[in-house]
Amino acid sequence: MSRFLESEGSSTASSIDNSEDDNKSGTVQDRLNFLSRRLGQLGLEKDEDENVENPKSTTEWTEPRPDELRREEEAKETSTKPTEQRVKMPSDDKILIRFQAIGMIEQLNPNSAKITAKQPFSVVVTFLQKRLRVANVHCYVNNSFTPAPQQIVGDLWNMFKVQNELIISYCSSVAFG
Amino acid sequence: MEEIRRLVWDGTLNIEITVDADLVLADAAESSRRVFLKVPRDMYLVIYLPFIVARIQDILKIDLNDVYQGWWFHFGGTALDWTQPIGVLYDSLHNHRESMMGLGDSGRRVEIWKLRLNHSHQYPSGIIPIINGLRQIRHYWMHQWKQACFISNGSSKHIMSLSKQEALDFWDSILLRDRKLFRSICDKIIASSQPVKRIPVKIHLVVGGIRKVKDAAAEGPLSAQYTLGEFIGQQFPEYFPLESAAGGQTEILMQGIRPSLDLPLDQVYFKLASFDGFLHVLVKVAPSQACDDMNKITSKNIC
Repeated sequence: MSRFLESEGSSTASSIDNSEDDNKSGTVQDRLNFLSRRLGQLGLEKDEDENVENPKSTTEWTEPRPDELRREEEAKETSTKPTEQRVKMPSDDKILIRFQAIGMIEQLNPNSAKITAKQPFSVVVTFLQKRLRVANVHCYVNNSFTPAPQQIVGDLWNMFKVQNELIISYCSSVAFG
Repeated sequence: MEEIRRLVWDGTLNIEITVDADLVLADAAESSRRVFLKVPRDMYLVIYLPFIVARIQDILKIDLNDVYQGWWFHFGGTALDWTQPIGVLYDSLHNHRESMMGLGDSGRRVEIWKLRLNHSHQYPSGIIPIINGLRQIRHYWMHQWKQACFISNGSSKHIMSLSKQEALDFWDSILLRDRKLFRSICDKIIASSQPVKRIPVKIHLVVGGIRKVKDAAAEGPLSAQYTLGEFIGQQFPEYFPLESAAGGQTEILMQGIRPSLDLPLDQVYFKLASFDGFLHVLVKVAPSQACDDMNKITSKNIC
């Protein structure tokens, strides 16, 4: 927030300074240069903010986009293959995980994310620990069991998905034995 | 069926464990570094750490705060993943073909699996640290059962509704090797008398010394019609044609035996399922075939 305020403050000052210049010179070229600088400043500040706040730039996590969800739904509707064949996925595919907080632990926002199917489950736990800023988090699939850290999330998705989502509930203490 | 289950339960391995020389006193005799065990195939090897450490603690030059913490087993440079049953690890890493070729005229030989035991504060890659002793091992095993229960019944209700005493008895039946008690609780979780929704399977694929584990579930009513060969062929359609399995280039093992690929999968599960509720199927691809298929396997979703 402070970074944002600083950038706003500096751009405001810059705006005043340039307005004065503009008044002095009064040329269209100066006006265009000012707008170009202003856009550059705004764009730069936005990119830096995303790099700091958004973990998806350092991990493979991405938020689900409506068009991706629609494609999944279309694939589900048009598929006429047997179940076993339909659930198979290429190694590069990503699967959708929906997170549910249990108890007093912070709720993730957004509460869903995509992960490469071939990643082990330990990556999901590490992601939660980083996002929640906690040292320890207990994860459960379908409010039921804790997978082994080395289990592949694509395999878990194949076996336990609910409407094409792997439901992971998490808690700061033991919730399901 | 019950006789096969008994044979599976009673299956054992002879293991010779040698403690790494760096961990013992310089004047310790070579023989004192070795511990011999006869262990059930269906068990986690780390459960025996207290027994092993008790036999070598007099020659150890390291301080131990916890008999489970920091130890790991390795075979031929490969660290053993304690979360898999010992029998599965043995079948994955041991060359059965060479063993069979080494048999004398009598056809009998005592097979001993020689393992090394090491200790450090830094575990090798892929090994889950044990920080909470036997409780952690029990916790892991119970959650494997919950997972198997969920796959079979569509929920974990059967295992969650066990009383606390039954849950403790279930674990004790493993430690005390009480098959009757184990089966009585096991039948409450996944009843062999009723059709299962899906069959929980772990496929261990060994290709050219590289071992991968894939979790799979044979779906719905089809599972009863699947044969073992069809199921494995379906899991690895690109590089596991059934013809090659029939031709002997690919070896399929379960509980140390080579089952017929024509057996129905549900029958195989109820006879040969492991103590963690999963059917562990080992698929070993012969080295010559492994070289050809290596590129395909490294790109598949089974790592």
